[in-house]
Amino acid sequence: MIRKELVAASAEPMILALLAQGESYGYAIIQEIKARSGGKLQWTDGMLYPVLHRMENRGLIKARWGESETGRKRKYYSLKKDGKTAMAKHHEQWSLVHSVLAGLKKEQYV
Amino acid sequence: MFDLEQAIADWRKQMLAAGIKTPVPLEELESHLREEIEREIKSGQSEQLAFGLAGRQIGETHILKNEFAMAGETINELLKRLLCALAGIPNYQLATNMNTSNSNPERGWVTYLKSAVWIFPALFVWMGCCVFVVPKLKELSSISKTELPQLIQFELAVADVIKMNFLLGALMFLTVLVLLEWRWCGWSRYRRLFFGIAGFFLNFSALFVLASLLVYAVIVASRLVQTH
Repeated sequence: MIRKELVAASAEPMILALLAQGESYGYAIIQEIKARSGGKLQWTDGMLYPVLHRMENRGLIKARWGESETGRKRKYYSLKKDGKTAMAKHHEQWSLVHSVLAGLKKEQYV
Repeated sequence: MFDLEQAIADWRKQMLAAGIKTPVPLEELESHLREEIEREIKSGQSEQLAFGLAGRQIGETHILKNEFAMAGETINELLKRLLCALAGIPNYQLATNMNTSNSNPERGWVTYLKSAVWIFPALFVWMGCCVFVVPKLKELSSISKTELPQLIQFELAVADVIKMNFLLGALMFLTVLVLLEWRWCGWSRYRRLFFGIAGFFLNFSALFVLASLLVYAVIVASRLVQTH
């Protein structure tokens, strides 16, 4: 299992990256992250929504109510311009962290 | 016998009791709960077990409440909402987020029609006041030999400027509107808000002028009664 601090810190960049592929809704976002991490990234489902609302309030994403194929109400989220900028920043920072860690690991085996 | 709908209704009550009172998160959480129950049932669980598992997966209510409170409105959002409420547009967020891609469910002509209906009565009364009441008031003022107060003088000066430049002003306003409709794709999003706020201020100004003229008329009338 991944530590909860890391899960919390990575939630926003992952949501942004996922929404960059197209609009989605809460349940689908959770399932997608679960599937992509092989079940290792486990979010408490309800916790996703405050994060989404916070991102919406900050103008990173926007939301609209729609309907599922069965007629159930769903709130769909999509990326806004500021969200794309934030995603690029996150990507840059996470890449930096990754490259530093990878470099240090490599030096251990030299 | 387990009743799924009743269980979901009870779950909603628990959420409300725990403090998740705003409609949007609750609707969203319920939609999520139903999706998870559906998935569990498809994977072979009974309704009761599926409900229990889905509820656990959503998380504990008091933690959720704290998280939602932390995700609450920013000051900008709060100010925007207050301004909209002041302009007579309650729950603008709910209204603009429903089933639409351009974030404004109302068609342009509906907004224009509503704004005209909303502004017209006050505008009509104000124009009537300028034509019939103001000359009479000036006459009364000269008879009673009292000078018009500065506030009334200012209001009359503004009214004169508007009367003299009405056509030019209306033409400029219409040109700006046409340009906004034609050239700015974001206008549809702010149209309703703009007219709501503009209508509120116009109506407020007209009513304020009427009230001040009325108060002044009463004062002058009482002075006239005293002198005669």
